[in-house]
Amino acid sequence: MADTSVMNHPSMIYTDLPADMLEAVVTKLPTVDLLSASCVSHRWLHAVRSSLRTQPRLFPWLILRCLPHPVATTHSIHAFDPQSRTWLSVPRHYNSTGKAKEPSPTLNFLHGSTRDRLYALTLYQLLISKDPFGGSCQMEAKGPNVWRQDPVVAEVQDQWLVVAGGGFQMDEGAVEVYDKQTGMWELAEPMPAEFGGSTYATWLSVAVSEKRLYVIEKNTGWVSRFDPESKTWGPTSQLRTIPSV
Amino acid sequence: MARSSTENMITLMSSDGEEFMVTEKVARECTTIRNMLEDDCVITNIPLPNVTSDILSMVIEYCMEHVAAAEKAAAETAEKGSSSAPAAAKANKDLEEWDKAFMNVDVYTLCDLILAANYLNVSGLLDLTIQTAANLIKGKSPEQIRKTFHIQNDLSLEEEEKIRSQTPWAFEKSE
Repeated sequence: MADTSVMNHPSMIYTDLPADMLEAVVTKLPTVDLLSASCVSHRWLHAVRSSLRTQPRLFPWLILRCLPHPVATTHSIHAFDPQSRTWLSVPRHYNSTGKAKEPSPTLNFLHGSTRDRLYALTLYQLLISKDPFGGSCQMEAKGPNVWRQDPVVAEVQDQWLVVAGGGFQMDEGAVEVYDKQTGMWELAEPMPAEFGGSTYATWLSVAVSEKRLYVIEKNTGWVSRFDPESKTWGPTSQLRTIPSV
Repeated sequence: MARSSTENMITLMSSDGEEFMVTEKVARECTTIRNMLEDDCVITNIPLPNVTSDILSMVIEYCMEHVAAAEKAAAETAEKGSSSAPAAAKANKDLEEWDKAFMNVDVYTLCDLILAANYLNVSGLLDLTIQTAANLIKGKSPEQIRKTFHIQNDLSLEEEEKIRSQTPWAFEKSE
């Protein structure tokens, strides 16, 4: 129950900092406190939004998954925010103002081609955000058609979003391309056979050039490139791996 | 150094008419006043209609302390040729402690100090007060923040709900 004693006190003088000063104050806050601050009042909400516009809380963050036990189904995710030097726990489910909400989607954080974005895959959608507060939530695309556990994600030319690998069994190397202009997912040629058994993001490194996506298998050194326009792979070749790298 | 005995005195006048005599060096800590002095060097009496006497006396106290600390450090450097690192570190720490004690004020005074530091453009004091205000917010719920700063909630429950739902990964602090 909200405490209304302050509001009922007519003699109370309200502290009212001008907008620019209030923004300066919230800018000093660790990211974790921004949500609370934005729920204080309209003026505070504007201050937080304005602060995020001028000084976005950007990645890279260090995201750590803790598996307490190999067979445990519940694992926790922690994120380190270097700006405020705080550890945050990523809620597996979020409810607001104490009320229970419908079962919320499981967030799966993905390995992306760029480290300044946060990609999260739920059962229904793929979320991309530039900052951890979701203030500049970039897009909420409908999720890919093939269910994946740990795919790699890459944005190419600001038009395509490529999700590759991480699927199950037959779909292990399935590749899908999302066209931001049409808003549609399209199935593409699966990953080359050389990547069989290691299409998970744990084993893959991904890079993006102007038009293409490059994937390297960290153990075997197989490299291939993907063209989102033609939706095909190739050529695939093997780099000599240096054991120490 | 030679100037110190004959240093100009400046009179600062608060909004409620109280006069404060300070050395030019202390007054120059306020960028706003420094700019006035540079524009017109014969000025000796400056009215500050936006600052009350109790807040102005605090700003002056802050400026005097920081000027004294800077002078002490400069004198030590001149004496020994180079200042010893441990001594400088201790002086810094002492000043930090002083700042911390200086910030032991209620939120009304704190907000007035932010306004005064901003108006007079005392960057050190502005940083200090803003950081102190931010520290008061850390780890608090919206209701606790309202209570601390005596703010009236003008958001409806629906609006608050909406803000929360729009921020899908507003993370919680790790235990």
